[in-house]
Amino acid sequence: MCREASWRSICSLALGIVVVVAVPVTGWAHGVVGKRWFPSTVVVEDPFVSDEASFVVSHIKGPDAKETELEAEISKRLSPNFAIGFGGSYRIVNSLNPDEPNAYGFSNPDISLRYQFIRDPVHEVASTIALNIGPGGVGAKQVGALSETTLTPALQIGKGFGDLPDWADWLKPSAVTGSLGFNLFTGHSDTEELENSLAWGVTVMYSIPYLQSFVKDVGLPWPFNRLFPIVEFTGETLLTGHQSGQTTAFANPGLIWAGKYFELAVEAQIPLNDVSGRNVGILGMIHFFLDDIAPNIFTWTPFHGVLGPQSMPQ
Amino acid sequence: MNALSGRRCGELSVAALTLLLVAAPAWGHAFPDHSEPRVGWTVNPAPSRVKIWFDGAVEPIFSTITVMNAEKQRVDKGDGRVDPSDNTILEVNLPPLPPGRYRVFWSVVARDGHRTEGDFPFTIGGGR
Repeated sequence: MCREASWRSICSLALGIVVVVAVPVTGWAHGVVGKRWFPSTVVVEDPFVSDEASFVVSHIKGPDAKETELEAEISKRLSPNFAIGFGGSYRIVNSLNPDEPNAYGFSNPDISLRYQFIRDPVHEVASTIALNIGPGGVGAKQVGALSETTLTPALQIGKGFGDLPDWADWLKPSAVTGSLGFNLFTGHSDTEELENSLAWGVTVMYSIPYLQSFVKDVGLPWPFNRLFPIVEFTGETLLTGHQSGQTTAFANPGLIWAGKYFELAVEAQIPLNDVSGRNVGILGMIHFFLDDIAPNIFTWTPFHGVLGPQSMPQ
Repeated sequence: MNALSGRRCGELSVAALTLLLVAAPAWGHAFPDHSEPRVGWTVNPAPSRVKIWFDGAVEPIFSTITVMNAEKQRVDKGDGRVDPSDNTILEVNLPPLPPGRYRVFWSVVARDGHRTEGDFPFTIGGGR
């Protein structure tokens, strides 16, 4: 009986949590600029600072191996415009060559410092500068973690098109974001090829919530009224080394769904050239809005007190 | 004992759920759920008022709603208010308006003190 009752209670609790977390569909979290809410994207860095935790799973069959990566990242604002982040990933590399062993292990961790220097509510523009640090020699060499530290200065920018003229109403829910950074090694190695590179990314998205709240209520019910169709383009061009000039690039079309406290995303990963591979991979993300889940804890800052969830400008 | 444990489990669940349900709106911002006239729709005849339903309670003192015509002149009766019987509704009365495109501007402060604002268009059709 206890088991039955407990099971019923657990079910009720689980259902309740799902209802509470998922149904208040009009909740908005961070990445707000004017009327625009930018969802967190899976691959391309976001143009805003926030209190968040992200978990990404990816799988793709590359030219030499099947690769699965589990990635976690947490970001915390230390002031309204400055955030620090920590990330790590675990890679599983199953070689397609039977003579080569499979490999698995952690990549080098990633530490990021990010500063928001533009937040223009009228033109729905947000921009950040960031410095990512990848301490060398921490991760497992067998999965490609290098011994030298990388520094990646980067710029991110996002632009919503809510300021288009009224004849372009249907384009107002669209937005683009972009990121550009240089992966620079701080040292050199005689045993490893350390290739500096240019990393870039562009996303194009369409906000159904924006469409229904500010342009035209087309009557889409939950959960469809919380969708963001998106395509992310990412690429990396080697700047040094004997493969200098070589570019790997992917187009990742997919869908993002945003609730009050978390966001889900799934994207295909389509290689755009032979170097990038010939098979389509898959990416999945669950992203938690920590500032909305527990604002008193996660939005506390040393010099500005509790910031609270990010909101529209006052 | 087993039955008691089951009941306690149930009570705990209800308590946890209640806590979540009560706690969740405390930090939520107020955002529009739907409106009348609907966002972007053409209506005929002209509406006598604009109503916006929000997903949470809004503060009457700090919440505003205005309606502008295509020439950006204010056309509402200036009596925008939060419905005293349901503080999730923001409304304003309209005089008889001619056909044309109008835009509703709203600004509300949720119970947690955070302001949200936005605007949306609607059109009054000319035909009968």
